[in-house]
Amino acid sequence: MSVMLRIVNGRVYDPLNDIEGEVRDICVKDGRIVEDVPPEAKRIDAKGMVVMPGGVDIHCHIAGSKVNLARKLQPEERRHDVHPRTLFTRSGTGGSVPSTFTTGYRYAMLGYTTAMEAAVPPLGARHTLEELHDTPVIDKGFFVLMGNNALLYRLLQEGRKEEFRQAVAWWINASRAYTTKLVNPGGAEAWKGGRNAYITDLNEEIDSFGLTPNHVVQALVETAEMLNLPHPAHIHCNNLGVAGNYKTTMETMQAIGGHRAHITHIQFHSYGGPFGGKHASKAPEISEYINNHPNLSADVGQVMFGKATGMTADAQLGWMLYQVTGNKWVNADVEHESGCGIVPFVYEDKKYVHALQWGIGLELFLLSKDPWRMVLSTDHPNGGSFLSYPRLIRLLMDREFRMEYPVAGSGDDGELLLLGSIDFVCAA
Amino acid sequence: MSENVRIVENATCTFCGCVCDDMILTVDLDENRITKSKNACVLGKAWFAEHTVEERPYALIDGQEATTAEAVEVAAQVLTRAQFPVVYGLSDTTCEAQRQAVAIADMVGANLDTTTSVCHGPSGIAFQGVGESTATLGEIKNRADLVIYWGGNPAESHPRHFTRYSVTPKGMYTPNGKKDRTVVLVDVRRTPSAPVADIFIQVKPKSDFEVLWALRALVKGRKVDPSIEARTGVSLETLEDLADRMKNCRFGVLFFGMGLTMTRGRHFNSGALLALATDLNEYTHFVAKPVRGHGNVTGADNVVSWQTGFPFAVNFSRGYPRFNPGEFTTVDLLVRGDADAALIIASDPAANFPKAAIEHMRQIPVIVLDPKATHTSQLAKVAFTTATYGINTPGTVYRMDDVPIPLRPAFESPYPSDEEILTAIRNRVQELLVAKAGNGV
Repeated sequence: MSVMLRIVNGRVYDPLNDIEGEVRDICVKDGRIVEDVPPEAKRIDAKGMVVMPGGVDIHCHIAGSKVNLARKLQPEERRHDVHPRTLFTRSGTGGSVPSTFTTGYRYAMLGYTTAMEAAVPPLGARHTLEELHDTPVIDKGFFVLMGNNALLYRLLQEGRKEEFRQAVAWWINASRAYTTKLVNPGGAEAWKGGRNAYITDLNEEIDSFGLTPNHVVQALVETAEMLNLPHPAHIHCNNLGVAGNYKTTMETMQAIGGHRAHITHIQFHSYGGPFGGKHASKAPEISEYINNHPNLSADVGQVMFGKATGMTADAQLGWMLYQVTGNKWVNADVEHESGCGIVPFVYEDKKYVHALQWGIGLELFLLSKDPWRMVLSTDHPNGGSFLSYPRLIRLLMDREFRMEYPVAGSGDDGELLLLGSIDFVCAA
Repeated sequence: MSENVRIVENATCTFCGCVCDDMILTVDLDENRITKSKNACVLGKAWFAEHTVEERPYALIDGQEATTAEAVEVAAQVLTRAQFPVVYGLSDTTCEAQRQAVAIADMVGANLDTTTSVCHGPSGIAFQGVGESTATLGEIKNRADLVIYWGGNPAESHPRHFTRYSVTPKGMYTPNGKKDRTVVLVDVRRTPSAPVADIFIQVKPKSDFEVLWALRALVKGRKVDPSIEARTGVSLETLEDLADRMKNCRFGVLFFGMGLTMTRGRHFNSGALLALATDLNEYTHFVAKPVRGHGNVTGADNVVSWQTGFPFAVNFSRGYPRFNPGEFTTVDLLVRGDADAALIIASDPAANFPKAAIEHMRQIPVIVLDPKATHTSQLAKVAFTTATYGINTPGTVYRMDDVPIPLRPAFESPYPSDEEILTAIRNRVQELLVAKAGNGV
């Protein structure tokens, strides 16, 4: 028997179909929206409510071994943010890394219906799937880490291109992943094998493999495209967080050429200034490049002032955050596949770099000419919890609200908040 | 021996936290027993040989034979009526069963705790304080050139730890196996693990913390007074040599056992060791790893953490998870006489808890799930006979390094799995709770 539903009296917004605030019925049959359903279909009266497509979180960290380590690490976040059980729902705890049931319920309460876990080593795929089974209500999936895979490196080094593609395809299938993920390609080998060394250049040789990050990016981008994955290679570029890193980001995008690719939490990769020195905004340059290259998409990775958790397969970044904060630190090496770093973190509007990051994120949103290719994310929980999305949406939609933030300064440009002036951001 | 033989390759041994998944089992299907377990250590061989199908009742209620269904009914009634039920054990069953057990605890507002609270609980507490630099065991096989064991005796407790992961195997960057590694053992006595070590350091009992703290100081270039030897039994020269080796290795690892976590200092000891490993990353790459005991105790930590946010010692009595070791650890609350019912899964607390805790268990209705008759099943109101995980039932377990590993069962058991029984109890508990709520309206 088919399940039918008629939602009546709601104010409907559907940007894909140019429906903007029209009061009309929505009919659903067997989980799909249809023209009409018979009168006996169940009715929901949505009077006074907005009916809109469910939100899709394209990049977040909600399930798997590193997420669970971050939960265990921070009991201090949980006591004041509990999620009680009901007769039909499970209890849990919140904080920046909620327990699984709470994660599902809270996304659903936000109006989000899909969330993609963005970094899972193949060895941890089974763990991630188990947690996703315990994450209710929402649709979910994950991206599998391939950019530091020693066995793939070996195939690439030996020029065994077809076997390389077959291996990537096998891993995607065996781990039940949605697409390939690259994180700081080459970095894990330097970190684990080179006494915590860093990779800083796209053309630097990766220890003992005769390859460069550039080779790895190109091979995986092409393979993801050739395999016709539903989402292209999802790339966390080298040098995250480092001043001057926009050059690395630009070089990565240039290396991708005309192929499809997604550059993730690009805010963290849009910094000017001397390499490793004082940060500045390069949002206009990055934004212009993305605007002009329809083969590329990105998500922002907005930072929101308050508690966050640095949680990444980029172990050198984890170490950097530990050095900066002195907070407790988790490092977790995964053989052949990845590194991992976790550090509790707080973004403060009084801090120069944090205020700048906040401004750069908003610039990237506001400078984008195609919002379908510059997706909303905080890289939850790295830039802030997914629970901050309503505030972030208001920041984007409401100029006055935005300008109430002391760090926003007082821009006179009608359209744009900051337009790339670093002095401007930090004038307050 | 019959002709009806089956070979199971890549089977998984769940006896200890090594969770070796390279077993080749020969199964006599007429006799329902494993006759040969290639690649297993002495402990694994015993595990596989001794888990046959025994002629036992499906369940006992107050010592009388009963069906599984009857026992499920009584268990559900006991758990829903109790004011302060406890759910305990979980380290020798699958994650699938653990998920059901946590659900039951949540639904009835129970206290939930695992055997972690009596083994590496202090390491879990230390982790919350200082974090941990760690690695999967394959990484250690591939890269570690300095391997230190502290307060453990793997030769007897985890016999394949040396050969499969950390001492003799040839890895990607350790092509000569043991020749590429320096092995150090630190313990209060010379155990059968000592001959494997290049350096054995004997610490006076109850002075691990002082030795670790002195090493932290030496690593950071601080002066340590030679009187450390009188206090700890370890000379300053020995400590300086060890600190030097730690700073100059390429990839070092500190494995630690219950000889560290369950001696004087407890979580301070674990915390000192984890902090030492963290400090060493200023100079080289260094990791630490608790050597976990039971086959899926690491899975229990993971399941409880992802469902509640806390690894053990969780209480649901207020309708949401609270964490407080000392208050919500099972030994402590039984000794205080707090619990009025208990659900014990795949564990035998009546064999190893303090006397006062066992005395309290005798006063309250206990429900137990176990493949074997145990001390706990003998004092239980309801005792289920279950299939053995890994031997009879499939599922997932986590190795001591958090790597999930699938089980490949050898032969079928007539008895239900923990997961099946717990799911039935959960469903019945839900019916009873809904009915209770309905009556209240």
